Amino acid sequence: MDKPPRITRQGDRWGPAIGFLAIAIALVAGALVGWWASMTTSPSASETASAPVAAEAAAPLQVAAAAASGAARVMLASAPVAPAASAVPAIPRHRDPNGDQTPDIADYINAGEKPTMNEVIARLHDAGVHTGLGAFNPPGTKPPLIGLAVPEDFALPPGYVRHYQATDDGQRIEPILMFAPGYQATTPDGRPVAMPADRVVPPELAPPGLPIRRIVVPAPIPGS
Amino acid sequence: MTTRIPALPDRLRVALSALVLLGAAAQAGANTLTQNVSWTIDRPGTSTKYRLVAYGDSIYAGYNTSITTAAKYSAPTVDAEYLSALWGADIESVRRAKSGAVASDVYTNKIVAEKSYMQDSSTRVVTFEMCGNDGLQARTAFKGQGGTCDYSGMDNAVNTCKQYVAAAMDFINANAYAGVKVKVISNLHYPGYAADNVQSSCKDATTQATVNLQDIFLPRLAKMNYWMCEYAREKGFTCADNFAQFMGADYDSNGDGIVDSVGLQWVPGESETSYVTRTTTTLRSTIRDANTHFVSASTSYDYLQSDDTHPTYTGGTVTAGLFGGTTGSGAPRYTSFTGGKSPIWNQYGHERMGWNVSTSNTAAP
Repeated sequence: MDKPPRITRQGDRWGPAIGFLAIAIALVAGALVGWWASMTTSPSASETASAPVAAEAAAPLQVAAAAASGAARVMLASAPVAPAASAVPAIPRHRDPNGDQTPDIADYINAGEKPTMNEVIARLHDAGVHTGLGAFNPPGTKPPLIGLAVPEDFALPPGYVRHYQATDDGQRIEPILMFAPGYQATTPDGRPVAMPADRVVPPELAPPGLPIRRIVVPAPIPGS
Repeated sequence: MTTRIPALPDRLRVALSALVLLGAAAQAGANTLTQNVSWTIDRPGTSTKYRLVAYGDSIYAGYNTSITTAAKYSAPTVDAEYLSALWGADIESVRRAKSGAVASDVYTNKIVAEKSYMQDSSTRVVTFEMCGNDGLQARTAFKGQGGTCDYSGMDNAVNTCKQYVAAAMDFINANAYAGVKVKVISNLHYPGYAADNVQSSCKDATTQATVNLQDIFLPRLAKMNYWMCEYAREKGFTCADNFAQFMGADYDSNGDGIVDSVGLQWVPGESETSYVTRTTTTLRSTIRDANTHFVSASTSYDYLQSDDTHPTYTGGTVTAGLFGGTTGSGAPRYTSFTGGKSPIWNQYGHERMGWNVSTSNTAAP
């Protein structure tokens, strides 16, 4: 005898699911904990700042899936330990009465979402928008150059350059060794050697006495 | 007949896709990001406060490739620090900015719609920048062209820029607080200068050959920059020539006896033809991508973030964008400036621009 069919909900009806309910409760609890933590974080002694909190969260105008395209970073240091859970702040839905009343992209993002700029730009491009933010290059278009660290007290021979960079969140990257534009390195017997297109000095062309060590790009600052 | 209920993982995927990802946004206005910040340089020992108001797009916003934060010390706030030392006062830098906004948007929805910020009686400085996104959009469109090259998009961007720059100056002159002492426009650096040294997909109608993108964009950018400075001269503003400060080295690289960044500067009273010829032809060899801004023959700084467009900065970030802006204050990083320059004036894009704006500051408020 066949087993009787398992009774399930009808396709066009939807009732509470224990699993979903538990997830929802966990999300709300996590959000409240994160919100509480953010509200109790004190600014530094010399600085005060406040960011507006949304009075309400209106329904988004449109929702669609998007493909993330996070830019890869190379040679990242170990990331600092991030908070286990943090709430996504609310998107303000009220305009400054003394300000610009026109919509911006925040009006098209769902409450609770926090897309990266890579996702924003990719989504705009997917929608055929190449104006505004859609005309920006995505982060990571030209990532920091990785090369040999060159200490501040190291005397550079002619033809070499100490090049400083910064991360997108404003951190200084230790300088790397580059060739000066137009410089042609030669072998000890005077023959020209092939120069790297990006002018970053490879270990084999480093000046004598330079400790050979590649730089490490600082890990992103959480929340920046 | 039974109806299948999606397995939990499927349903979770649906839920998460709505939770995490961005809604489509092709409508007008959906391609910009408002990033307003008010940051006060709180100088110890004084309670006198003056205001600097800055209008603009992502440059003055301090865009940092994030949708929720911006540089605390974007150029206007850097200038506020110089002002604080110069005037011995607290300086409130009010940045009304919208990343991605074209010149008409900055004019209509920031400068005009938010005029109240420059009408406050504490206002002493008004500065603005615009047109960068007109150029970026026109460049993007041109790069996408096939067939016969159509230069009208770039030329229209130049004309639109001129129109709104002039209108903005007129509006500020007519509406800013009467006690305003300093009015400054910041002109444009050329982001992606090196990347544009490639051939187009389209072909020129006359030569039937592809064209070098840099050769197409540079003269048009130069025209925009010329008219920003020229209108400034005509309308009582000063011009912070960021093109020269970003694109030219701080030493004499071509042996003409002039430091490159000085040689590229707009000269008050010169003609458009003179400026464009000098910067795009005569001194072309001294223009270098701002990714490697040489402060000497042996030291260079990257003035652009990883998007190859926006200026680098230091000093941390503040909330600005998706979750609103920031109103805050903090002590100055530097309280005096030897020779009118901070120790880091030439090490980051925003520090360079802020210093450049500061050179227009008056001795007293």
